[in-house]
Amino acid sequence: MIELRNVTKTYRVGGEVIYALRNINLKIESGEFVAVMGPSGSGKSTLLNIMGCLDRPDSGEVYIDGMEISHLEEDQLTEIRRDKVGFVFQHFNLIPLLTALENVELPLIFKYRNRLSERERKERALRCLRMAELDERFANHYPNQLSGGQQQRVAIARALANNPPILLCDEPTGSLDSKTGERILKLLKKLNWEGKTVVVVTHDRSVAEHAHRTIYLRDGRIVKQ
Amino acid sequence: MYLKMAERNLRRHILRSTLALLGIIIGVMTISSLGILGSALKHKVLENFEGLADFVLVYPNPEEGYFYFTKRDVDSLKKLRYTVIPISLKTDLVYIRGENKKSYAKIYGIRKDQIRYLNLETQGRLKDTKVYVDSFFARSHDLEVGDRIVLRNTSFRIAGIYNSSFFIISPNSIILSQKTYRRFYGDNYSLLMVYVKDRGEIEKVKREIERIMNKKERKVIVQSMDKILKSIGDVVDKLSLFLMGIGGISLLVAGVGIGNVMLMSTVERTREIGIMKSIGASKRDILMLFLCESLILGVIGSVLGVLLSLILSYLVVHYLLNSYITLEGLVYSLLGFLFGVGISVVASLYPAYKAANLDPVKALKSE
Repeated sequence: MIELRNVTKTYRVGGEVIYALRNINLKIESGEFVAVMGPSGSGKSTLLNIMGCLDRPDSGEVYIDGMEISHLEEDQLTEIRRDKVGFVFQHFNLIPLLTALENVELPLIFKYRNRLSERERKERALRCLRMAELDERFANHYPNQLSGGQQQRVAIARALANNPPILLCDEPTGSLDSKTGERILKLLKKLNWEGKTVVVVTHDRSVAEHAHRTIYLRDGRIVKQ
Repeated sequence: MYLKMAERNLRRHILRSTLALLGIIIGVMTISSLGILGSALKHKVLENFEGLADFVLVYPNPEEGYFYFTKRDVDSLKKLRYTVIPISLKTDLVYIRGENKKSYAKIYGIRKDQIRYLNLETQGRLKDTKVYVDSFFARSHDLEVGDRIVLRNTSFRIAGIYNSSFFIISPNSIILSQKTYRRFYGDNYSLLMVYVKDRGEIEKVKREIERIMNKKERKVIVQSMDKILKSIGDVVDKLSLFLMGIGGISLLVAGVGIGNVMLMSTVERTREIGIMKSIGASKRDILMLFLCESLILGVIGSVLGVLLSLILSYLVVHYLLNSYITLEGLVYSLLGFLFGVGISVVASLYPAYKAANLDPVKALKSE
């Protein structure tokens, strides 16, 4: 499902070259639940961004669902990101101006524009909210009217909107108390069980315990699988 | 959805949006009202002279020693088979009984049956024993229709008061019938008007008159009003265009305001843009979102600006100019509207472009 070959990514900070990733080789199969762990600055987020087509590697090859992406144009990357990947962030990253339902509708709009009737779009968005186990009563609430756990459920529903095969989660429980975090994790497991490939970047060892496999990163290298 | 989001974004900073809106409103209002007023003014000015456009005016040429035309000159012009309207002019003292004083006035003599060509809009009919006086003369001597004035020891009743128009009949004047005039001042004419119904023939008639009258020397000066009218129209047009240009500058300033608002918005919403990109928004989506916002500002501002200008110029045109809003003025309104919307969109192009090209990774990291 996801494959990285000899992927290197560097940043330049004030003339100094910093290696975020060095020669990463990694293969994640369809239906896997993979945790990525490592100290901060080890390149976890960069890895996730590259898998999610938000970023491009300096060298090496990245395959998403069989397609090599490192040479693609930005518009093509946007399409892959839209269709193949759902992002879940630590800080939920909902659009504050939009209701829970509208937040979930947004990816559908970006994909289908007017090809989807408003009713159908709302129905699909509601279905996603249900999949994310958010009570329908909250569909018309704005993000600031929702608890952290509820917001993360909306974010997950949004990630599911275009039915992507891959869910990429950057510290999905990082802003939640342990009990709520546990529930979100259970939800991610359920979605994985229903067929999604899930990659979770985390500091939290207990999160990693739910994963099929844990990848440890340090200084941009995989130190343990 | 773009529109819905754009609208909510604008509402989020309602004060800022309102100020940007205000700029557009003022700019569009200025352009539109000046356009409307300019063309109403032009219309009004031309309306005063419009009746004169059908005439060719023939003056004696004083440089060659001619100050008056004689009966023979009039007769020779009649060969053209157009209506010739001879107009006589002298300056004389008029005695006003009520004030017991004499005052100078221009005395015109026109044939009774031809007075209608001048469109004086007087009520009573001109007779050999009655006169018309112009409104300026009437006002300065407190005269009304029915009052009497004395000219050459003869008393005349005022049959009507007219507005003089500078071109043919000057202010501070009195009109007598040709017969009465001849009795006092003799057979002389200062101006011959030739009525040409078909304006296409004016040039031809002018050439004919020159041929007949200026055989040996340049005895007459031939003029037609169509050219003069056109140049008056041009001057008014240029003036209103200049004023509209000033309106345009104010709109440009408003555009800078919108650009500024949008740019601030881009910076503030960097993270939001990053989020949208991460969930599949293309450059085009982001671009559209920002353009929609300024489009909303532009359209609302321009609509309000045009409406306000219509109200304002209606008041001015109706009550001050005593005229009405012309179609040409409305075209300027439309122009102001389009310009307002255009400026808003153009001003937000750069901010929108900047937003669309943000690097999603960096944008997501920003707070």
